Amino acid sequence: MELVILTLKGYLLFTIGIIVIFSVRHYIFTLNRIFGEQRISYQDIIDSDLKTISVLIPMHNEEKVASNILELLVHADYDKDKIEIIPINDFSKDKTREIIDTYAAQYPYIKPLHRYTGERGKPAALNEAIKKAFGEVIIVFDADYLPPKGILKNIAVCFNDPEVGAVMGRVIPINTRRNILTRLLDLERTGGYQVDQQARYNLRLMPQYGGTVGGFRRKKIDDLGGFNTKVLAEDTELTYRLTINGLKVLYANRAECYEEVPEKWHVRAQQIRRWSRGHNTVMFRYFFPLLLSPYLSFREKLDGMLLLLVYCVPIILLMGLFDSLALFFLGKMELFSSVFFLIFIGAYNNFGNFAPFYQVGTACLLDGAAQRILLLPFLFFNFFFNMWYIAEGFLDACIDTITWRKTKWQKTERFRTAHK
Amino acid sequence: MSNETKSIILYHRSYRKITRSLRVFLLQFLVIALPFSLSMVFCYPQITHTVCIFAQAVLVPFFSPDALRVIKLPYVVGNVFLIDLPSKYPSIFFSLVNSLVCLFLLVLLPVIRSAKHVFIFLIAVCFINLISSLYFIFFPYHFPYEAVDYSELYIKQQVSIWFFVPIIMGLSILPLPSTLTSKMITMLVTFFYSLIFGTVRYVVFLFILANASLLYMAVLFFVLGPLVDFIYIVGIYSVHVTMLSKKMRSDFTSWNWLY
Repeated sequence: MELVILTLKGYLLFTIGIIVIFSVRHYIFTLNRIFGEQRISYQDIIDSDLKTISVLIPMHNEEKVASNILELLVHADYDKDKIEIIPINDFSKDKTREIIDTYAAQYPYIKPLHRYTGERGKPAALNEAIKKAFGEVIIVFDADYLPPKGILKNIAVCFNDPEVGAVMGRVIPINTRRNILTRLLDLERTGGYQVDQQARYNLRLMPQYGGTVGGFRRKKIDDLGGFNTKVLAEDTELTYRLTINGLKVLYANRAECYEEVPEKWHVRAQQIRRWSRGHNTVMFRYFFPLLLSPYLSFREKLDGMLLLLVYCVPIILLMGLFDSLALFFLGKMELFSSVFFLIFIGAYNNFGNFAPFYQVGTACLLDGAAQRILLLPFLFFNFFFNMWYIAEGFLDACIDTITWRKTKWQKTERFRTAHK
Repeated sequence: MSNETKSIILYHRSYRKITRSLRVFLLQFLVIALPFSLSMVFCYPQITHTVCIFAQAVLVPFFSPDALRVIKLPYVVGNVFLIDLPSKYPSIFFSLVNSLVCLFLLVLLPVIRSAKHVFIFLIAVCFINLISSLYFIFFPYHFPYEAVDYSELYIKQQVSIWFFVPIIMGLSILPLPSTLTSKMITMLVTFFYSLIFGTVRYVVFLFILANASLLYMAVLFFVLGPLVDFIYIVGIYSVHVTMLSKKMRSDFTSWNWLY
């Protein structure tokens, strides 16, 4: 019994250690965003000789949003001889195909790709579209995004730097005011981009390519053999494949694009579980290659490692809670008198919400937001919610890795027409 | 937009930062937050004594005359005061009813699709209470604590909370460009709220443990303990930042660009 108790106490200390490391990491990011020198992307460069681009928009049953993004992209500020737009109709059963074809008939640089055979899902769809694309740079938007006029230039110009392998823009929810969930997700996104991503870029760590509102160098993805269709987080995987091979991911905070966030909790649950599953699969595959990469500095490796662990930590924490329960009923409650509070400080601040409260508050302040900051305490509810669904996603990833189970792509439900 | 030309071109949010110095922040932290926090080391015997006197006064009508006692125990550099009170063990029937209710809710709550964030929180509450109920059904005489043990833990934990509140508030608020006065007021408000909240919760928890039963000790500890403290800490922080943000909308000197 003594050995059991010792193990349980050891695990509790391990959990605290992990929490402290992540709390410090996020605090450094916050201080850097407040006090540090800010690195801009290349948006101020005016270049008349921009690269050719292919804008890829994977769509599966996207009739609610398809016309919005296409309408905005045809009005984008980019030389029409150097752009092609490839809406990828991926096994849609609704009116997505008709909407795409209507636009394609009007604009010759819209070149639809209708897929009804082969493998379904975003990575497979992107692979097929890349084969067809002529652009030196591939820019990807999810179908629910609303790209502003200048964003293509802002992203494409970054690829004039030969070190840049991928570029990520900033994502901002457009349906923030719908309900408490969308407001909380807005807070999460604000903290994640305005502080987290920008600080990682400032500190020359590892900003993450998010799979949308961003682009990557076409030749490089060809060299790497395209996207792995077995991985749900093709964006995270691309981040690591590029950086391990010596290219950089650039974060362009000025390249802002609006998106639609889930308006229902069960949709959010599916989304976060999928993200966790995909991210953790990438973690299993790239943890050691990252550490062994000759192109990365020590702190890039450290940050990359912590980034890989982000979706793994909630399960460590969940097990920590079970561990605490066991210790409690074994009569070791006195152990918690000093350390348990620390656990929850870190837990509540980091892993339940992805961004700690001080990071979100700072991000909102930098954004010039006011009223929405008052919702910060409500992130309390995300603590158990995120922990639970991320843990489910982690278990999915474990099963995927052990059994080589084939992953099935899940589409996020759209809400746009519901609130015209 | 009017025809008037804007006299000021504001910095875009993407790369603006705050006109503050890291050194000033560190200095303020060392001079204000740290001493504030360390002062708790010298004050906690008096504070816990006051808390106990108050708790005893409130709880006395619900207990027999000699049931409640204020006792002191050594803790870190001084003594902590706490209430010694009788324990109430749950009957088998009470534990059984509790476990059945929790079991029913654990089956029902996951099915509900709306407001999942709230229901998952409730699932966690039910799960912990179910384990506690089962413990009292199967090992009723092996429960390792009395109410006084919880009383001791609670007070010791409150001391650590009071110690950490100035540090947490200092780390989160002192880097911001609000005035030093407003920062100190915010830190004091949080600390005093923590004192009051901690005292009221102590009274309520002791009442529950002594009158309802020890069965609820696990839930009180795991779900309504330090986790809840963070709600008001973050709440007060959010009020401070909201007020600052509104002020900064018209105060252009607060912003810097890139460097």
